[in-house]
Order: sequence, then C-alpha cells, then structure tokens
Amino acid sequence: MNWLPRSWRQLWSTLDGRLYHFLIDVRPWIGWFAVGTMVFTFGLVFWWVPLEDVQGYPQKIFYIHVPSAWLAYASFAFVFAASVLYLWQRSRLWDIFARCAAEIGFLFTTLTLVTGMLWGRPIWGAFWTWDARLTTTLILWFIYGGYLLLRAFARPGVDVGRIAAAVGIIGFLDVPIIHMSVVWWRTLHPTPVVMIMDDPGGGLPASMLVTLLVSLSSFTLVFVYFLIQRVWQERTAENLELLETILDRTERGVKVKGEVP
Amino acid sequence: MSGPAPALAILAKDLRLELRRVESLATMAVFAGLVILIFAFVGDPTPADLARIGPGALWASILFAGALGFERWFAEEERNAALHGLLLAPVDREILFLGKWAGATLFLLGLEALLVPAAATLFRLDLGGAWGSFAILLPVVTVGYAALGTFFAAVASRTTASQLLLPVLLFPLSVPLLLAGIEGGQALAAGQGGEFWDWLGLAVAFDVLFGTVCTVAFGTVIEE
Amino acid sequence: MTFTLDPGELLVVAGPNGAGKTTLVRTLARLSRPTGGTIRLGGEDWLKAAAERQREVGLLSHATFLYDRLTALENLEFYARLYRLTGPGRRIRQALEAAGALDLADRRAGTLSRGQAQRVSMARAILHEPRLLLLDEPHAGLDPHSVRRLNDVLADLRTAGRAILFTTHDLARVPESATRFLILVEGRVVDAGRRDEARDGLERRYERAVAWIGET
Repeated sequence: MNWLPRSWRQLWSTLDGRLYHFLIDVRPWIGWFAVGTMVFTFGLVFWWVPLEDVQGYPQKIFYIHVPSAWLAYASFAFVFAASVLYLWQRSRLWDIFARCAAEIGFLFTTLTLVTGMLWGRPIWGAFWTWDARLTTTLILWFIYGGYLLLRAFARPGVDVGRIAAAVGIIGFLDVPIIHMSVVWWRTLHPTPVVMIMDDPGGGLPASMLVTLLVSLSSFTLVFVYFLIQRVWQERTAENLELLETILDRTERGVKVKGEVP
Repeated sequence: MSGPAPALAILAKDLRLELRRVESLATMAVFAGLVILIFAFVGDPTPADLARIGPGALWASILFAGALGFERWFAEEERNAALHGLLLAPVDREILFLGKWAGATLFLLGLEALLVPAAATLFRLDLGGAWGSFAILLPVVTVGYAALGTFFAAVASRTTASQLLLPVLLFPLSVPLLLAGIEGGQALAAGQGGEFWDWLGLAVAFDVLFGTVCTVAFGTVIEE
Repeated sequence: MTFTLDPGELLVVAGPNGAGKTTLVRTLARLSRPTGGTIRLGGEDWLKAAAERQREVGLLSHATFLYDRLTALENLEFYARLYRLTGPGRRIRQALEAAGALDLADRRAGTLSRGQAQRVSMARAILHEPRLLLLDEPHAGLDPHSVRRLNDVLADLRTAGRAILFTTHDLARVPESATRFLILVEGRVVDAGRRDEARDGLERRYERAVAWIGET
C-alpha cells in the first residue's frame, strides 16, 4: 500500500523474509514434535481414555473429528489473512501461503466430513443429516474446492493470486452469514426431519477433555508442519523456475533483472 | 470519482446489446422453465406438496438461469477485448462494476417477470395479499445475486473454463440469498409474517455487505 | 529502459515477438501495473494520477474494443458517453472523418472487414483527442491498402501535435511520418535513434540487433 511510509514497507518485506527463514529453520523440529505428539494422542485415544457410556467405540472418532473441524475453519481464517496481506503487500510469499493453507484446509474439511459421517452412521443411523453444522461444513468444502479449481484453471499470464485473494476474502466474509442462514433454515423449519442428539462436547469428563486438548495440539502441529512444508516446496519450485529463465537468458547473452532469494 | 453517468452509459449499452439478441434472453427463459418442470418431477408431488416445492423451484430456476446469464453478459466485454476499452476510459473501476451490476439486475428482473407467474400457476402458489411482500423480497434477493454473479463472472473470465467455474464459485456463496428467497417465500405462503421479515433483513444485510465488497474488489480482479 | 516522447513525435518501437512491446503499451495505458519504475505524463507521476486523466491517452491495438452488435456510430456514442464528452455528435463526426470511416457509421461492427473495423477503432482511439496515442501492432491482419490509409491518418495526427507511440515487428510497414525509432529485445532497448538518420539503414540495424540476441 502506497500510503504507508517507505521504511515501514521495507520493514514488512524484511519481516516476510525473516519469518520464512525462521519457519524453514524450525521445520524439522516441528515435524518431529508433531510425530511425537500424534503417537501420544493415539496412545491416549486407544488405551487411556475411558469408553463413553452411551456411544461406545464410535465416540472415539470425536478426537479426530473435532481437531479436523477446528483446523478446517482455522485454515480458512488463514487463507483470509494471507489474502489480505497479499493484496496489501503484493509479496509472493503471502500468495503461496494462501494457496497452501487452502489446500490443507480442503484436506481437513474433507476429513471432518468423512469422520462426521462415519460417526453419524452408528449414532444417528445415517451418514448424513442436514444439520446446520454439517451443512455449513459441506458448503465450506465447496468454497474451498472452488477456490482451488479457480487457481488450477487460471489463464496463463493472469496474476491469479490477486483474483484468488479477492475470492478468499469474500468466501471468508460469507461463511458466518452462510452458517447463520443455515441455522435459521433448520431451526425455523416447522418439522425437523431427524432427531439430533446433544453434542458430545457438553460436560466432558476430565480424561476426555485432556485427550481432546492433546489431540487438538498434535493436529495443529501437523497442520503447521504441512503448511511450512508446502510453502517451502512452492517457493523452491518458483525459485527453480526463475533460475531456469535466468540461465536460459544468460546463455543467450541477455541480462535479466531478478534475484534468486 | 467519476460520477454515475458512465455507469448509466454501460447500462444503456448492455440493454441495447441484449435487445439486439432477444433470442438469448428467450433461451434463458426456456431453460429456467425447464428447471421448474424438472422440479415437478421431484418426489411426485401431491397438490399439498406443490405449494411447498413452489418457491424452491422458482428460486432454483432463477439461480441456474442467472449463472448462464452472468457468464454471457460478461463475455460481451471479452469479445474484441471491449473490457480494455472500458478500463482505458477515465472511469473508476467501481463505476464500471455498478454499470454491469445494474444491467444484470435488470435482466434477471425481466426474467423473473416471466418465471414468477409461471411458477405460481404450475405450483399453485397463492400468496393472496402477501404478493406485495413478495414483490419486495424478489428484487432484494435479485440485486444481491446479480452483484455476486457479475463479480464472479469477472473472476471466471480470467480462467480457461469460465462457464464451468462460474456456478462452482457462485452457488455456495449464494446460499444465504437462496435460503432467504425460498424460506421467505414459504413463510409468506404459510402466513408467517415475522419469519418473512427476518429473511428479508438477512437478504438486505447480504446485499449491503457483498454489494460493497464486490464493487470494491472488482478492480483487483479485472486489472492485468 | 528510459525514453521520452514529445508532442508532434511519432516513436516507432520495433522488436520481435516477446520483446515486451505489448507490455510497454499496456503499462503506458495503465492497463497493467508495472512492478517498478516511473512514468511521467506532462511532468506528473502517471502511475498515481487519477482515473480522470485516462482521457489523455488513446489506444489502438489489434483488438478493436468494439461491440459487434452495435453500429460503428453506436459504439462511438457509447465511448463518448463513457468519456463524458461535450458535443459528442460533432466529435464523433470529426473522429470518423479523421480515421476515414465516415461511410461506415451505420454498419454494425460485426459486419465490418478487418481493415474497416480497424478504422472505426482508430476513430474510437482519437475520439476524446488524447495527447498521447498508443498503437500496438495496429497493422496486424491489414491489407496493404488499409496499412497505407492508417499511416496517412497517423501522419495527420502527428502534424496536429499529438505524441504517438507505435509498436511493430514489421519494419517494412513503419509509417513514413515516424520521427524516431527504438528497438526493443527481451525488454531492453538495444538500439535507438532518429528516423531520418537511419532512413535506409533501419531494417539492417534491426536485423543486427535481433541477430545479436540470437532470436529469429
């Protein structure tokens, strides 16, 4: 943004670079830590946490489902933040962040839907009900899908990052309204089609709460690791492309402006 | 800001272009009619079901026909790169968007003037005295849908699969409007005034928010 | 690259495909945002100037920017309203006349031949009397007769004091009225000079510049 003093913008762009290199430095640590906590989480889920009285084994999927849902929504917020930063800074890094967060968000949204359905079959007697939260998550999945398709179908030569950023921002603003409208749609309706059980989150015993919290942290670590890894891949791929162009041109004796970070 | 005059120029130009090819509006109307027909096949409705399905069939037909229309109306600007002519003019991007948005709204309203009586007859929708309220809901939902539709037609035009992508991007984000249209209509049919006003309020809020956001973001999307 | 363009000058920017001619023109017309550098128009920072100042540039490219289902006249009327011109009728007539397209006024743009459409498009580009006229490969797809007509129009405009920038990859068709040239390869100026100094040598200098780069 041009209204910012020049020194501020420079500070920001150095921060971009610093942030990136810091993330690359801590990446292996985060990776191994994520593996460790994940193993620990599954240990807790399968051997430590007591069986729920009413639901039995199916309830255990809850420890995967809830973290997935949290990350699905968190990555959408991440896409939003990275999109805003990209439009503001026009720094390639934020564009890459937005795209990678969307990919991983799509993955976790899918996981949320699948685990939800697997749980719903034994407990509700159906894979799917048009419950407000399920419906919103399904719509979120479509929004993510559309966002990724948009990037995949970009016309060559078009700066798709900017367009995708606009779509990412609009999508994020729309999600709360979609959720509200879907809740109204369900609750104002004269005849609810399916009886919906109380959410299993209410009044959790301490052991379950601990397991859930551990699971949430380990999934978040995995998310962070995936994100850094993907951003690194994309960034490396882009740098390679730039290098190729430069090599190609230096061979033909043309000087090119451009730097390899 | 360059004032609204250029937006009116774009609107007048779009109207003229559409009237030069009435076939395309007619085809959209036929297509929308077919969507309504298909809804009659859904669930083998009894007379009581008909009125319940009616608003949904009507809005679904508007939704689908709209997606076809937005793509075409924006494609006018792609032929001979006319969009560059617009971008070249001393007119702010926001004003350009307002012009295209107004055109899309008018075309959709024209389409609805055909579809509403058709759906009302075929699905025996009788809102009685509530038609007046429906006449408020209809344009409110249409204005919002036209804003999103015009914006995403511009987005999709920057891809190699615009016809394919437009509905994929547009429909999920239009869910609140679709629900407001359907549920608001059903509330009127069931004589539940309070619910109707809730849905109308939602649609108005949606229009204000996304009308503004799309207008502002349009420049980001069409610039090279 | 650095260059200036004064009123009454016709600068030819020549270069092979991919040299950055179109990018240059689009950037000057503010259709694309450059990643760096500055452009000044009449002393003011052009990249930060208000949208209103767009009326100081006109652009003719190989795309006509015309609506096929409107007549030439209706197209120009639309652009006149877009530019909020005063006395649009008179301006349109003048522009059509200057571009040699008066006889085409009532024809639908979609029915025009390539050369005719380009003339109408020329009228569109000069309708608002821009100080700076940009032409991006305007000869593409034109027959020799149409090329000559277009070059005549350019000569008139130049004499009338407009600054004109003209890009091409085909030096045989460069307008006689050109005052300066600039050879662009892969985004860099590799040769430049006054047109009259290189009256016959221009094509050879172009060949040499392009060959040095290893392009065909």
